[in-house]
Amino acid sequence: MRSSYSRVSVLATWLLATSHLGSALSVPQVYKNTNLLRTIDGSKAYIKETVAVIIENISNKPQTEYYLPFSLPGSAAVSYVECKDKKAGTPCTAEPLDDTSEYPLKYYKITLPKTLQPKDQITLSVSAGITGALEPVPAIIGQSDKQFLSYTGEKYAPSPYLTEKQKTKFRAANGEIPEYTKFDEKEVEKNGYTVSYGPYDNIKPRKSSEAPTTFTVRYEFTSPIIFMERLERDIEVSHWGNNLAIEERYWMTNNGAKLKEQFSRVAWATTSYYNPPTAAIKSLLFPLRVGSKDAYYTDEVGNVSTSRFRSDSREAVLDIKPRFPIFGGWNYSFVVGWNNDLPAYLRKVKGDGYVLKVPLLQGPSQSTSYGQVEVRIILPEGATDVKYDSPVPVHKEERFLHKTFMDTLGRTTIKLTIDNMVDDLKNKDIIVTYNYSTMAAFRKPLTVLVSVFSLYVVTTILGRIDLSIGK
Amino acid sequence: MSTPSLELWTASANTPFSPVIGKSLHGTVAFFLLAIGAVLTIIFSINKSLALAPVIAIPASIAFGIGSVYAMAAGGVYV
Repeated sequence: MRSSYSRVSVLATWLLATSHLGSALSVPQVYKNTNLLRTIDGSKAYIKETVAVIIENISNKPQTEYYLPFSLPGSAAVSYVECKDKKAGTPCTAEPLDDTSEYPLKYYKITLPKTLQPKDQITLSVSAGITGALEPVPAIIGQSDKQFLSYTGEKYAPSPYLTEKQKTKFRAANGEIPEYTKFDEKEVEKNGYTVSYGPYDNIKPRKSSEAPTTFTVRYEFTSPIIFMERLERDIEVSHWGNNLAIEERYWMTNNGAKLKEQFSRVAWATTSYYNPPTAAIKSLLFPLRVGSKDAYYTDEVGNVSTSRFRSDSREAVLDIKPRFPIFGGWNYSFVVGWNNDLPAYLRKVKGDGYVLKVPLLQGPSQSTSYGQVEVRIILPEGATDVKYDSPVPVHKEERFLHKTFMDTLGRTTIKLTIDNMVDDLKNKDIIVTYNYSTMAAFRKPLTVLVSVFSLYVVTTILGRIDLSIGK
Repeated sequence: MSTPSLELWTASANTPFSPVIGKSLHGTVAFFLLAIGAVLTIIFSINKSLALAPVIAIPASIAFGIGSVYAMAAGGVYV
């Protein structure tokens, strides 16, 4: 059943790919890959693919741009791509190409950290987070059954250049790998957590009309596949309150294997006593920045008391337990929030200028992927000239005034929407600069001051009106 | 990778945001300011003279203005 489904999926992808024929992407043949090692990490709730490649400039001109595709069949999508010179550690930029003619290959244009002269070599390390590439097989399991995931990828690392030598390593979550494609005994090796394919010599770039040779690995995955369908994160700055308030509203689902039968609370309570590994979400651990305080955890019903918050000089950890275990396909929405003292995140610059540096994404320590993340940065009322520098590409930006307590005009707010994030992008700071004058700071007390003073004046005038009847 | 924003952040390392009043004093300051405002209001209500407005009504308004902002902050509503 499963293999026929997989074949249909691969065939559909290939048919879609062939429909793009005739408009194939033209990549200049100016490099050859001397040695390529592709590592596919399946131990997370998404795939992390790392390509370490030694490239050589075989043209007679200096080169700065290198093209690298990732295979994204079905509903798979790239969350992020990071690139660096492996030896020097110098980062380089990777930009996605809009061209879809090579589907299911998604091409990235890499700008090398230095110009590569003819016959020179450089070792690149390119990492990508790929979501939607894992599938639970079987899709339905018993409450205490083991969960297995399946990954299907291309046998040869896709590249528009000739690859002299290449090898692919798939890393599973543990050593329990019941099924994996065995092309030939010599070229496939299973060693503990990893299954290796290759080495393969002199692999030419695949034509888009050719169906790719694929391999499939099915492996045990005892953790839940945590997917935050939506996250709304509010970062609120208060100069008067000397506070940075963070609130996160999550809409969570478990993308793991669904339950075969009805949930048994008795069976759950019995097995929980032994604390066995389970594919259900039992708890979430939020490692917060040192100094975080006043943490809270609520859901649609109200406060959830099954949480622990520990904050000291070394760490701050919020450990929450949902009201019920979240099995595959189950949903749960909740809110967590906490406060921080502002001086650790805000600095004064020239004149009325301020610079704010806060994490764009925090989230649980467990491996997690996010469908849509909306980050609202709420600055004090009257803040102007707002600029920001995001560590990840922003898909949509909105600016508006957010009205809340004691506001007259509303607080300057920027809302950044980022699709398809993964926990690898956690704890990267966004830097926001803005101007905030003293007059703007005094707007709130001034509003109260004017209101109260008006009241005094009105009562004085009313007190002077003679309302007596005759004399 | 260094960016102009990051350089600005690094360059301003010696000037962290310094609040006029720390969080621990919000409640105390709010209480005193609101108390001063209340006492001045009582005095003003006894003798509602326009001549007393600058001496009593304005200080009372200032005390209420700043006191209410700190009272909100002390209650956990960081305005």
